[in-house]
Amino acid sequence: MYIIANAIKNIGRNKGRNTLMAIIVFAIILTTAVSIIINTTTSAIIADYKSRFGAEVSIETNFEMLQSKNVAEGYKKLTPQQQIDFGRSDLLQSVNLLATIDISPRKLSSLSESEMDNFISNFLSGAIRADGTKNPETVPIKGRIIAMDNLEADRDFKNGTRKIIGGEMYNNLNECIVSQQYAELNNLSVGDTIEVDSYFKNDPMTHSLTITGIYMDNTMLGSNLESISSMENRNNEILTGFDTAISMEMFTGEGRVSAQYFLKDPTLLSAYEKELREKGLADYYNVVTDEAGYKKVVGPVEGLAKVTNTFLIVVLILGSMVLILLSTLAIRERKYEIGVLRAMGMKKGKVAFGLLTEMLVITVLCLMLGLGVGLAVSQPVADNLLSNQIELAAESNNSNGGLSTTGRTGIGAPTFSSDAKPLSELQVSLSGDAITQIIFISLVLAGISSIAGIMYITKYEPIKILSERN
Amino acid sequence: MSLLTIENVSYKYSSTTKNVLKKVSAEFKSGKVHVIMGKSGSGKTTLLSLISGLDNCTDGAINFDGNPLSKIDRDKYRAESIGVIFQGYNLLTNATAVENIVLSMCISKTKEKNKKKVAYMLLEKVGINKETADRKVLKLSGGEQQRVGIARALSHNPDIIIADEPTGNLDTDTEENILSILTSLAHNEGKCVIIVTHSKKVASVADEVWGMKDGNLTLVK
Repeated sequence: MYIIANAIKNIGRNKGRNTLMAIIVFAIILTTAVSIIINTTTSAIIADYKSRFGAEVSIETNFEMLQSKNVAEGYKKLTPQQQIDFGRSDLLQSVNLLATIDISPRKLSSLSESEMDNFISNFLSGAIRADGTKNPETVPIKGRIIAMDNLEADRDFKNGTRKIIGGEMYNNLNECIVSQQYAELNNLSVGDTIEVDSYFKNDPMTHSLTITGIYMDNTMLGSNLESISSMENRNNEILTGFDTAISMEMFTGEGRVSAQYFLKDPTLLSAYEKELREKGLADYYNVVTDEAGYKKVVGPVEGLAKVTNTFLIVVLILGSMVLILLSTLAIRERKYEIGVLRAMGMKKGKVAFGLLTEMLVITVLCLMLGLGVGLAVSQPVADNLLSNQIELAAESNNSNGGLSTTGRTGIGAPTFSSDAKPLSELQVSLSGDAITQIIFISLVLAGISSIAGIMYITKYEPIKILSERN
Repeated sequence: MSLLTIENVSYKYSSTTKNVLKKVSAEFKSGKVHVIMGKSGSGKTTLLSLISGLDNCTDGAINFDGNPLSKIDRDKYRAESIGVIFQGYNLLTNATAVENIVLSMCISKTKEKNKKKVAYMLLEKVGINKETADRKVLKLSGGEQQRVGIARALSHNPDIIIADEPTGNLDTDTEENILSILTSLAHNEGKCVIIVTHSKKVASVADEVWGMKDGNLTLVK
C-alpha cells in the first residue's frame, strides 16, 4: 500500500518530468481514441453498404456472349412469368415486382395529348421488326398501367410526391387509383368504372377497372407538359395491383415486368444463381450485385479506413519510441532514487511496481481525459465523414442520370441501391470494444514507459548505482 | 557472542586486478562501539558496503548472527537488521525529511502505528525541528541532511548501525549529541555500532578501534 501512496506522491514531486510524460501519453491516447472511433464509423458504413449492395441482386444480359451468332439466334427475353418465378426462393429476403402495360383508353382523354402521339404511333405501326415480322397497327399510346406487388417500395408514395386525397388505395382485383389531374380531365370520381384498352388498332383488348381512390400527383412538377407526349406524362398513370395487371389479357402480349431481388445475406449470391440456372435461366444472363456501384460509393470509405489504420500504427510506433526515449532519459535522472530505495532494502519487484504504478496513474488520468475529448470530437468527425459519403452517393446517382442500367430485367427496372438514399445520420458512441482496445493500448503504453526503469533495476546492484552518483 | 563476523574477506573491483581488501577478518559485538580508522583509499568504505549487504565479497565470508550474508535475503537484512549512515547521505532529495524516515519505516515493516509521529521524534532527537522536517531534503544543508540520514538509520531499530563519517559535516555541539546517541544505543540498548572515521574525537568514544591500511584490518585498541 505504501508503494502506491509513495508512487502517487512521486508524481507531484517530479512535476516537470511527469507533465511532459502525461502530455505525450495524452496525445497518443487521444489520437488512438479518434482513430479507433473513425475505424468503428467506417466499419459501420462499409458493413451497411456491403449488406445493401451485396444483398440486392439483378439479372443482366451478357452482351459479349450475344455477339456469338449461335447464342444471338437462340436469345430469348426473360418472360414476366420467369421473373415472377425467380422471386420465389427461400434465399430471398424480399422481392419487388413492377408490372407496366402501355394502354390507349379509347373512351378517356389523356393529359398532354398531341400530334406527336399520332406521329410516333404511325411511325411504329407496320414497321418491320429485327426478326422480319411486322409491328401490328396501333393507335397512340395514351398512358400506362403501373402495378407494384409491394406498395412500401413505391418511392413516390413514400416520399410524398404522390398521396391519396380521395377514397382509398386499391385492395382487390380490378381496382385502381388515378391521379387528380386525370380524374378532373375525364370527370371521374371514386366508385366509377373505367375501361382501359390496349393500343392495337384492329383488335383492341379491353379491361374494366373500378376507381377506389384519387391521388395527388406532383411527379410532373417543373416539367414542360407541352413538349412531352401523353405516354411520358406520369399524370396519366393508372395504378393497380400486381395481380390485377398480370391477370389482364393485354399483359400477356405487351406487359413488362421489372424485378428487384434482395438476398437474406450477400454471401448467398452463388447459391441463388445456381437456383436460377436450375429454373432455366440461360447462360447469357448474369446474376450480379452492383459491385461497380459498391466500389464507387464505398471505395473512398475503405480507403479512409486504411488510412486511419496506417495512421494508428504510425502513431503507436512513433509514440512508443518517444516514450521509450523519454523514459530512458527519465531513468538516468531517477537511478539515484532507485539506488537509495534498493539500499534501504526495498526489493527489486517493489521498486518496479512503484515505477509502474506512477506511470499507470498518469496513464489512467490521460485515459479518462483522452476518452472524454475523443468522445467529444468523434461525433463531428463521424458527421463530416458521413456527409462526404452522402455527397459521394449523390454523385453516383447523378452519373447514372437516374436511369436503369442497360441489360437489367425489364424496361424501367429499378436501379441498384447506388441510387438508394445513403445513411442520413450515424450516432457515434464509444462501444465497449473500442474502450477495451483503447484501455489495452494505454496499458501497453504504460508498460513501455516503465520498461526502461524496470530493466535498469534488474540490471544493477544498488552499490553500483550509488557509487556512480557519488 | 559476536553479532557480525568477517572471515578472510577479500574484495577487488571488476575493473582492477588489485585487491582492495586482503583476507580481512574481524568480529563486531553487540553493545559496543567499533571504530575503523585509516587513510582515504585504504578500503574502509568498501568494507562498510560489504557489511551493509550492498555488495558481495570476492572471497571469504561475512556472517550475521551466525548466518553468511551470501545465504540470507540481503534486501530483508538491509531493511530490518542494519541501519546505514552514508557519507553521501543517500536520501530521497525530492521528498521531505520526514517522508524519508517514514518510507524507511515502511520498507522495514516497522509496526509503529503512527509512523509520522515517530519520525518527527527521531528527527527532533538529532536536532531537526518540525519545520525543517517538512522541507524537501534538497533544500536542507549538508549538516541537516547528515542528521536526517542518522535519524533514518535509527528509524527501524536495527541490530547493527553502520556509520561512514557520521559527524563529518556537523558542528561541535551536534557532533557531541550524535556521538552521545550512538554510544547510548550501544551501551544502553545493546546495538552493535560500527563507525568509519578520521576523527580522533569519535575514536575516543569507541570500545574497539580498528586500523585499516592497504586493505588489511588490525585491532588497534
